[in-house]
Amino acid sequence: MIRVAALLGLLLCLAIHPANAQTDTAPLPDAPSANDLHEFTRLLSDPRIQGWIADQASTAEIPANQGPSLREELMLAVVHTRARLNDLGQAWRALPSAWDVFATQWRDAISPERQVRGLTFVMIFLFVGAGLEWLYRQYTNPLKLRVELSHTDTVRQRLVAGGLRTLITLGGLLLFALGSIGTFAAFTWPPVLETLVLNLLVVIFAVRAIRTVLVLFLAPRVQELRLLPFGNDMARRLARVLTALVGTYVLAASLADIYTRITEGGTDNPYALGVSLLLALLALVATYVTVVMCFATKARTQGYVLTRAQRLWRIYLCGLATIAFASLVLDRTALMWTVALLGLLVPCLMLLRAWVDGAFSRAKAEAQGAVVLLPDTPADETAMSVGETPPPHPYEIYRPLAQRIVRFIAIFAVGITLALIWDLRVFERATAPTFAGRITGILIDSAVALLIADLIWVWASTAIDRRLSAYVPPEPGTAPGPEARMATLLPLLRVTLMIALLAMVTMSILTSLGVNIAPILAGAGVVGIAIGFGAQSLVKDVVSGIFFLIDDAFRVGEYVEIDQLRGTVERISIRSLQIRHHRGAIHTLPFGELRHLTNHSRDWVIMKLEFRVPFDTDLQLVKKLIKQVGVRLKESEDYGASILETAKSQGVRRMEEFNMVVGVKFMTRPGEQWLVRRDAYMLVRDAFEANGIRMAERNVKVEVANADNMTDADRNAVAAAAQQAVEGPKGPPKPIPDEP
Amino acid sequence: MPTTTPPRTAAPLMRSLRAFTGLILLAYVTLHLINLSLGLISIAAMDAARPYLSGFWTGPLTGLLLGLALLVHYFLGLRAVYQRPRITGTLQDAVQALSGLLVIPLLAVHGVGVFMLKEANVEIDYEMLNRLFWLSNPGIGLTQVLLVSVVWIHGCAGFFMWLRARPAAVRMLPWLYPLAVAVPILALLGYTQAGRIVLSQGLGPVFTQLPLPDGSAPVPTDNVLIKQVTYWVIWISAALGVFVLAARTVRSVISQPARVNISTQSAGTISAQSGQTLLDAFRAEGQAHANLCAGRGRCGTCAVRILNSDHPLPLPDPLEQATLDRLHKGPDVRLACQLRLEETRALDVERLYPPDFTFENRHEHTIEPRQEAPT
Repeated sequence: MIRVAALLGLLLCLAIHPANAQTDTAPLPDAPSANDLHEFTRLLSDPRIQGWIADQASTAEIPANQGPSLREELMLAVVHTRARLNDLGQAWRALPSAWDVFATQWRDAISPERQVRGLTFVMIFLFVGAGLEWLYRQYTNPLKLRVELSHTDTVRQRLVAGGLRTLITLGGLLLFALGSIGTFAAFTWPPVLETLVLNLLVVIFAVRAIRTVLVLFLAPRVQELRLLPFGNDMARRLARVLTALVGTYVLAASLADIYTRITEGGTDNPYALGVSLLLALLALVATYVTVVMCFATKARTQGYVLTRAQRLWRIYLCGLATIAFASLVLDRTALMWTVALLGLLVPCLMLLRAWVDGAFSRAKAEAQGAVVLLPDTPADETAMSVGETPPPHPYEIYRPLAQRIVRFIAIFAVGITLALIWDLRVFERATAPTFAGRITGILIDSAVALLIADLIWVWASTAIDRRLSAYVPPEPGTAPGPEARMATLLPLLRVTLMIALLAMVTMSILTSLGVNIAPILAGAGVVGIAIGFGAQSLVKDVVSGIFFLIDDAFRVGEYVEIDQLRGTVERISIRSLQIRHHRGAIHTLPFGELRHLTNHSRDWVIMKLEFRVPFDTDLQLVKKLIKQVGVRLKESEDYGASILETAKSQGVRRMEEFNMVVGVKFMTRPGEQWLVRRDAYMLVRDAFEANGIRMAERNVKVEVANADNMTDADRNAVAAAAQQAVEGPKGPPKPIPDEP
Repeated sequence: MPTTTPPRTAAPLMRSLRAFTGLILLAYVTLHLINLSLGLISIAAMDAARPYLSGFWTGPLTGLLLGLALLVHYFLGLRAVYQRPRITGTLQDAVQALSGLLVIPLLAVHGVGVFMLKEANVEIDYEMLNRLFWLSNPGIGLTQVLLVSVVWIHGCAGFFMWLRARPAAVRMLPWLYPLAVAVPILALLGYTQAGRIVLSQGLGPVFTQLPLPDGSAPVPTDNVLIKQVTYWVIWISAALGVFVLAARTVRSVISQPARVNISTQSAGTISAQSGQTLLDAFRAEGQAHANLCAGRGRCGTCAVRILNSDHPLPLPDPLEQATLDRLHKGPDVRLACQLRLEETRALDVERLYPPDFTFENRHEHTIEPRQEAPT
């Protein structure tokens, strides 16, 4: 059975990796005969064999996917470290003769004439590259100078200017690389010389590229474009020292590579190992020197005193370099990169945070300064803005978001780099090879989920806060603006978003931990359906409420009419609406019950008045008087501003039995019409009285034949009868009209 | 009354002479390099073109002119390197001064060798020289590459500076830049290609002495003498260069600089050392300031209006005066590149041109003079 499994394994290997198989199992036996192949196909088509193969395959998958256990890994690590220490001992002993070995190999490989000629070639390549770059610069320098000299107000402008400047420099660098490395590639070389020259060119190129990135952040010459919060002197020194440090690193790595290649030793060559570690030690010392120098420069700007935190940072950075060096010595390259990246992430995040803060403060100060110093701002506007408390500057709202984004980008980049270093293949969902790798994978997964959720949350809550902070609650007695409904909706949206994000992050972390979340999701789904059925009307209320709010059908403080109910909207919750009748009763209406709704408080209201005057009234005079009344109403201090169209006569609206009806109409803002109507009646009456126009009263004209001969008693009797006819029978009093 | 620097009456003449000799030398180098670039075709092509491109300069009259131009240019350059208040103010200045000092030591081997061999009537062609440079003496070959780079950088730096300060010539610049790169690159590639041909043949150089025109046997070449002369030239020129630089250093150590406060209308107040020019003070403090001719007093783009000064400023020398007369900007305008900060301790100036001014965009932005009278 075992033999069959081995055969299958070999076949699988052949099918998947034909190239590997050919190199690994170099002396292949003779090809199988036609009979063997026939027998094998017969066996494969046998259903019993097929079933057995399927069984084996399904059971064999599980152990294959599991990496080595923790104990095995520790054992491996111990063995590895022991071997490494042994190697180190050998390298130490071999170190004194390392130079001789190198010199011998070097002399064997290249004669002195060839060395000089190689140098000649290198000079020519460098000249070609430099010439092309010079040419490029002649055309781009005016643009670069303009970018450097342009005044940048906002954060975005500074970023764009810095980026443009870097792009221009990188373009020149690219031409340099194309010119020098391209010319180099055009010739054929002996391998030793090729290693040497290519390494040299790559060192020059790498140092210059890193220098460009440093210049992007530090901008030693142009303060306007500097992204990090340093002074001129500090930036210049930092740029110089860091370039030197990076140059040392690249040179050390390159020299180690050259040595290894020229002595033709692999990783087990003690000479190469010794030289590499020596160079690494030099790089470590250079790091110490750089850290000390940087902090010395910082101290100089502070009067030769370092704060406690800065001294701690100095120790921290030195310690970090030492740990990274120790990892390299023990041949744990992945660990070294992890330590270096994670260790540098913290100070980098702090620097970036300081940068965002500084940039925003500066931009804010400039924006506010510009507003204050703007010469042609009208005086009354300035007075108004001084009187009110100034609203928070828009930059204040964006600041946390910008900080999150910068942090997110930094951490994400480090995470991706770490994943590449540990070879996790996060995007391919492959199983991690080692225990430490699995832990790192889980951590990276969780961190990414948290970061994305945090970013979305801060973005959304910033946007919501911005809208909410722009909302000014209406003063009592005035109508609220359209933003009022947002004050209802947005907090709800925020809570919903937070719950959704929390749930998603939890699920994501649980998944990366290996917990099967399908049952949780299914359970949540069932519970959701149950709740949905039970709370059907509640859901209906909430959903229709959201749509009423989006439609902007009513706002707090508006006078609305719903079926038979009237009143002022007093409170809007997510489920129901409370309106207060003008006599004090409160009605609570779930949104689901609302079919249609009449809003009396929108935009404008037209009020019509009627006056009854006798038939003999001078209508021209009436028109003139009402016009005067209209002017006086408009001039009123209390409500003049709320009158949209002031009172004007509409002429005779209709004729009645004993009088004419003169119409008067005016348009006001909602809620103001009662007050205006009160004064309009008063003013019209006064104006009529002053001009001798009588309001029509009900009177009875009794024509009596032969009136001249009546006695006083008869006259009285007739008048009494007429009076009685006019008054008519007295009924019950009419209800008072329904007005607030 | 402060002491004023004695007016250098000879300055405009020296300047023109330096430019003129420099142009002659640049023309020679260009033709020589074009000849070298023919190596991309073949060594025979190099030799075929030699009488027209390089040989033209070795005639009795042209040879004398070339030698004189070289000597005059070299010594005028030495003088300028000593006199200029700062030579490391910009990359351009430093490169030009150092490359100028390096040219003669690098040139010595090639120049002296070819000259003396020619005097001894040895036939010199590119076939022989390439074999010498690539096969038998690769060190000399390397020196030639360095020489070409240094000479060309020096020549282009001077030439473009001279051209940039002339408003009439500014339109030509974008067309000249590619040429300035193409000539040396093609020459070096031609040299490389010739070297590859020579290396694949693997034959050493052959010195053949031609009989003199009157038929008598020539004097045999003395290699020891050639080497001695070469070494002498190298050592003397190196010593001259070192001496000039040392003299500069001594001068700057002796003159104890003080601080000068310079307030500008656009860039705020800076504090600079005395003993340098105003332009160098701007550069040292990282303030961009227009200077198309890199402080040679030619273009007038570094002009500043002096608003206030606590001591009377030194009078403009004829060189500066000539440029100022051409500018017509008023009596209180001075050239920042020529104005040395000697006695002044507080200076209030206003720049006349924006820092990114060029003659191409002169109509776009010229800063108008201030309306109110300077105090």
